[in-house]
Amino acid sequence: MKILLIEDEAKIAEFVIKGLQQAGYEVDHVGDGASGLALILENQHDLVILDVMLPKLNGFDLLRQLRQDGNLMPVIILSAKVDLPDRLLGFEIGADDYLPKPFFVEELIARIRAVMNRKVPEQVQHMSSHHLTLDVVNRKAQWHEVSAILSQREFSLLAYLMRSPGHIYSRQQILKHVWEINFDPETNVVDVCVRRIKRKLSRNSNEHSSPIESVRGVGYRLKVEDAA
Amino acid sequence: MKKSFKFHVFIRICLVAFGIIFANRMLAQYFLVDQLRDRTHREMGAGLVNCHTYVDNQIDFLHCFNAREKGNITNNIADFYVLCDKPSAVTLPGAEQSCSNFQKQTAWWGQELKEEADPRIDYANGVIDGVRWQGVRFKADPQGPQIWLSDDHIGDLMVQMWTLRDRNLIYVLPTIITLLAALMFYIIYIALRPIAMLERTLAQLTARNLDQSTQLVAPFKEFENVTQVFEDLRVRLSQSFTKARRFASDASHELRTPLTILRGNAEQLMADLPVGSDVQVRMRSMSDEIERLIEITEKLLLLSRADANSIVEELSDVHVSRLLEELIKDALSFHSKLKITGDIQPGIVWRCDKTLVNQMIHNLYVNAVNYNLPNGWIHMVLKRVEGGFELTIENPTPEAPSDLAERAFDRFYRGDASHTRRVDGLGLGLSICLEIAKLHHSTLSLAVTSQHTVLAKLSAPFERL
Repeated sequence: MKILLIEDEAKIAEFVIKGLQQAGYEVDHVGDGASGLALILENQHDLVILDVMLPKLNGFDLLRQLRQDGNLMPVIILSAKVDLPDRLLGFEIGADDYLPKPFFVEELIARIRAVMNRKVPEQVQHMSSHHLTLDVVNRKAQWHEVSAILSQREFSLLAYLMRSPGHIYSRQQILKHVWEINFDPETNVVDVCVRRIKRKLSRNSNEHSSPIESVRGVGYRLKVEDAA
Repeated sequence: MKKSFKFHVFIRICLVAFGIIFANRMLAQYFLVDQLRDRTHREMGAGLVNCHTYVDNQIDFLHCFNAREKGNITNNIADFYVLCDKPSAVTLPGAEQSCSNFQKQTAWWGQELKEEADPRIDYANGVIDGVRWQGVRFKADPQGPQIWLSDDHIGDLMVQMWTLRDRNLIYVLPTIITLLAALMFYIIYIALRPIAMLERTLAQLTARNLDQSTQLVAPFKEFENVTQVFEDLRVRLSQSFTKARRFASDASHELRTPLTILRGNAEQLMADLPVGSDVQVRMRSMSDEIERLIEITEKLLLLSRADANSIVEELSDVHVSRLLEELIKDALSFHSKLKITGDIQPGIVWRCDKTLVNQMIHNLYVNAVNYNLPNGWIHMVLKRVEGGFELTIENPTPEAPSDLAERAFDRFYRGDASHTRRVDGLGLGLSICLEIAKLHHSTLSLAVTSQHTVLAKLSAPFERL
């Protein structure tokens, strides 16, 4: 899949390109709106990642022009403008998603997948990755042949790790996304929760240990099996 | 409580009315005595002329005087005139002695009257035993009949006059005051109407429409200066808000871009490093600090947007009761050493910005944790009150600074909790809470109770005012 990244900040572009390439996408990059529009019109890309504050042609104007011309190319806006009116404007003029800066490349990749599937993550009934399947409706997890009903927090934690298998998430990041707290509670609540998931998903299975791997001092990640 | 402007004006007008009445009476009394004395003098002269023309003996003269002078101003004191003509014809008690006294006072004659006087009459004025007397006689006949009257009796006349005036006043004054009150209310209404019109216009002016210049119109010519002052103020405020908004927006962009680069590269680098290696652990620690930096930046940007009045809430119906129950449940697993209890009334739903309100409640909770005793407690109460709800979060505190209630919401203010534990944070949490509360038309306060506890209280209305 070919993605066009329109971002004037070279250093941001650099790690986004690297992250996307690692995820298997082919990426083209331009640093201004006018060249970006010209490239889009060549119609060689499947999706556009668009910054807002761009030289020559502003991201919003670019998108407006694109939609006025009837071009339905999927566009994800990346912007430091995070206020509600800006986000609403973005969607109003036809953005498929709006990701505020600073962002995680993993989240960007998750959103690219969602946009390409034409589904928002919340509407997906099943999420699966490397022998692990999550049933969003019943909060049920299936790891190889073992399945278990998870609590709300356990389910959210697993779903969060599934956003980017192999990527290590810190306890702080997990707390922020799963418990929605911005402070350090100074407890091992994340570890306890991970232990509970591991116990539930490896109860009867010895050959496949749990889907979550602990990286000492760094955090947790979803295991990427070579066989997969 | 402030007193009513109408009441204030009413009292002032009553005072002024009474002052005018009192001053009028004092001045009248002062000027009228002289005037009355002259008039009495003149009438005495007129009576003398009239009666002397027709009669030639003392008794008839007296009868004539009493009969003819009825109906004039001196009528009421006619009985007190002393008539001196022939010693044998004295008619009043004590008049004999008086007449002999008067006849000795030749120097008294020749008094000038202020009012037009009869040129044929000679007027006298003088004091005997502290009593002032006035008399009249013919210039052509100094030995002829004389009429005398004391000031005391003129005084009596004055008293009678004032009694009459006062009696009138009893009936007239209430009418005057009623009319004055009606007039006053009307004048106040007329005077306040343009101000009320201005007030209505100004009330429509909010931070969101400050940039619209056509709203403020003077209802009358005289108010143009006032509206101009408000207009200038609006322009200055609008400019200042615009600058603040621009700052918030620029700062947001300028800070978020390098943070995005930092975070992106750190995460990338971490993924590239050998799993579980020391370098990766150190990189994670750095990455956590970047997260902290992002969090601080977000807080500062939120405050700067609050100052610029550019926060737009994303309203939705939030189940506050459930949110708090969840928090208490989580808190029990987060902080096992603290006793966390709650008295949560179920079913309280609030239309608010969920993210911001969540942040506010978490900040208040974290504050209660950070400034607690080592094995302390936190008690949360959520209850419905008239038109809204009230949330209180209470915790014991080791040593609350005396100015905590006043300064707790100041930016970068931190209560000294160094005796108990290391407190993480910038001192921005509560000021953010205050801004979020204000945005939701709610009030937030912090108080230190007599039981050495800190009580944070949020009062929020269900309906937006």
